[in-house]
Amino acid sequence: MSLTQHKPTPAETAFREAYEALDASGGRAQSWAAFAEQGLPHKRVEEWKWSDVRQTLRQPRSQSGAVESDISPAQAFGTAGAAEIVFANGRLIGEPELPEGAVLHRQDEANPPGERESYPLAALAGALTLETGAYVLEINGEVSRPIRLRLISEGEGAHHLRLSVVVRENASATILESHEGEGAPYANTLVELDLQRNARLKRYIIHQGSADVVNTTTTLGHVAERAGYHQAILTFGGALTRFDARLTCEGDETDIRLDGAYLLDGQRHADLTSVVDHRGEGSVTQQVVKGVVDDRGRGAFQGRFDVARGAQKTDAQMQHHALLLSERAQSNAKPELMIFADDVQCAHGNTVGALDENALFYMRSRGIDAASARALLIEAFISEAFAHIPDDVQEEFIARSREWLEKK
Amino acid sequence: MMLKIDNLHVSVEDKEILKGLSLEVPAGEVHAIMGPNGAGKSTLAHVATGRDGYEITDGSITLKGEELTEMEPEERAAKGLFLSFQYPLELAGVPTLTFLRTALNAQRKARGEEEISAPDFMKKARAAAETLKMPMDMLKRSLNAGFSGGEKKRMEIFQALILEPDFLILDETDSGLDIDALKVVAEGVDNLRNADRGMLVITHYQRLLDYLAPDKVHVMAQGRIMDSGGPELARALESEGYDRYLEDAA
Repeated sequence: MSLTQHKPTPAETAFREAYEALDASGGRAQSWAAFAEQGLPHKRVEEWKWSDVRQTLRQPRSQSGAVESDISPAQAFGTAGAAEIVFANGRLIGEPELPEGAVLHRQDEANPPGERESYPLAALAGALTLETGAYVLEINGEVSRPIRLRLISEGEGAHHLRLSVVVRENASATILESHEGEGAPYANTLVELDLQRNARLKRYIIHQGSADVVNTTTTLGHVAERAGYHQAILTFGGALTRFDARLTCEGDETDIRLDGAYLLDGQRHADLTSVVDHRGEGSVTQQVVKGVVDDRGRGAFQGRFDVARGAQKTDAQMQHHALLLSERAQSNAKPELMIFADDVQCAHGNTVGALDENALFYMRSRGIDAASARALLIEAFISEAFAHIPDDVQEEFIARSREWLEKK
Repeated sequence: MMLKIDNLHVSVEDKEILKGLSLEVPAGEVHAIMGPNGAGKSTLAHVATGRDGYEITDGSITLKGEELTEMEPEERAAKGLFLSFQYPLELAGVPTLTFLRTALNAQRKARGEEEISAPDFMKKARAAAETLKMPMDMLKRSLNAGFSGGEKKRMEIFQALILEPDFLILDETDSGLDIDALKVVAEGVDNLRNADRGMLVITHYQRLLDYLAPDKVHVMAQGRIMDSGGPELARALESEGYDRYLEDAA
């Protein structure tokens, strides 16, 4: 819905004011026009029916100020000995020391209008990012040391970040990304990925913060021939959380994993949405998403695999399974396969249910108390989503999940 | 008395299933319960181990003199009660040895004993696996995940060998086993037999009893014990069936 067609909400008006205060160069104007055309997404838009951003962002928000306090040492991925890039409220902190083969620079010149204009929050990030243009993390070689990317949010304002990651031909890297939030800010991030021939990017994301944080993170990626992108997300939700990934596999034999888990209690919300568009031949895409929802938490999973007419021999498997631990917990799922090729293997599986009482009794009959039995079963359930990630990251994901379970 | 069930009345959704069942199994003895479908045999196993969904309207179940009926399932386990399930559960993602070590240590903790060390636990696991001719890599997988019916039954006995309960209830442990597997499982059970331990074997068939040689056989029908006797009773049932007891009750 266009801002010209509906009366802008106070939040949309505040975004306009923020835009007008910025220097309208570097593609900002196009991005703003695209956002203004669409407005904040809301529940009457099919793709956003379980994540009503307009409703959640009722109050106007000005651009977040800089984070005043000292940046605390990394909690997530703390032991990985990684290089570190820190953004706090959308601002780059310090000069990152990156391993050889990796550089971070700013691209001031206007990017050609791209697909970000098609997604309202991606367009919003392009329009309101503090720095004109985008930060670009460029990977030119086989970078073995992981790069820790911390996105810290505080206060009650809104901040937008536009980051591109370009992985050149035959290059590879691992990004350990943490979304850390305190207070009640709105953090809107756009990550544009360009994975060139035979490039490999692994990206592991932990999102854990206060219950009032609104976080929307959109990933728009292009994957060339024989390139690989492996992503796994562990989110504990917030007032509204949406991790949205749109990948276009242009080349043949791409290799994609999009795993994740959402663990929600209180009134927290998390939405994992993804679309993978297969255009080349012989690509493999796998996805395992698990959800555990307690209290009045709300989880959502939307997954779509598109297979174009010529994308023969595509092998794409999608799994989403959610456990509801209370009567008022919710998990909504929409798995979709859109297949236009005839020689493919594509499948999806989706379940939402309660813990298996028979399994619980079985464990208790062996001497394990009810709470421990429940925790063991839930941990086993979640772990399936982490089965394909490197050991140290897996350990951290499981440890954090266990911590969450132990609080119950 | 090791296990004593006295005048047990149990209902499920207002339908009475057990109607005044009494039974005593002393330490050192193996008793068998045989009976037709619907006699209440599995209900007895579930009620004894504390499964939800059953209402005890009268009577008692004691183990070594302690009343079980108000205890949680895990407390009963710590007191030494073990059920070999008719349909063992698959626990995807729960490694067998992790599960069993957690269970053993939980029981030990409840009894005020020290936890078992990892090497001691592994020693125990290896010995039990050898008794039951189970390959060790079966134990490295998730509990029962992808196992055949027979493998699951073997795994139940493996668990009993690790947990060393004072009293075992074997609920149709022989069903789903081919003759070779039956022999191995029976040997495993026989291994558990000693002067301090009691067992109640629920079965439809004579064949497990051929290996186990029970001290006593009880016939259960219509929610009660209708007859008790020596091993010859099991053989008589095999040839004559249960009609006599069903008619008696009617």
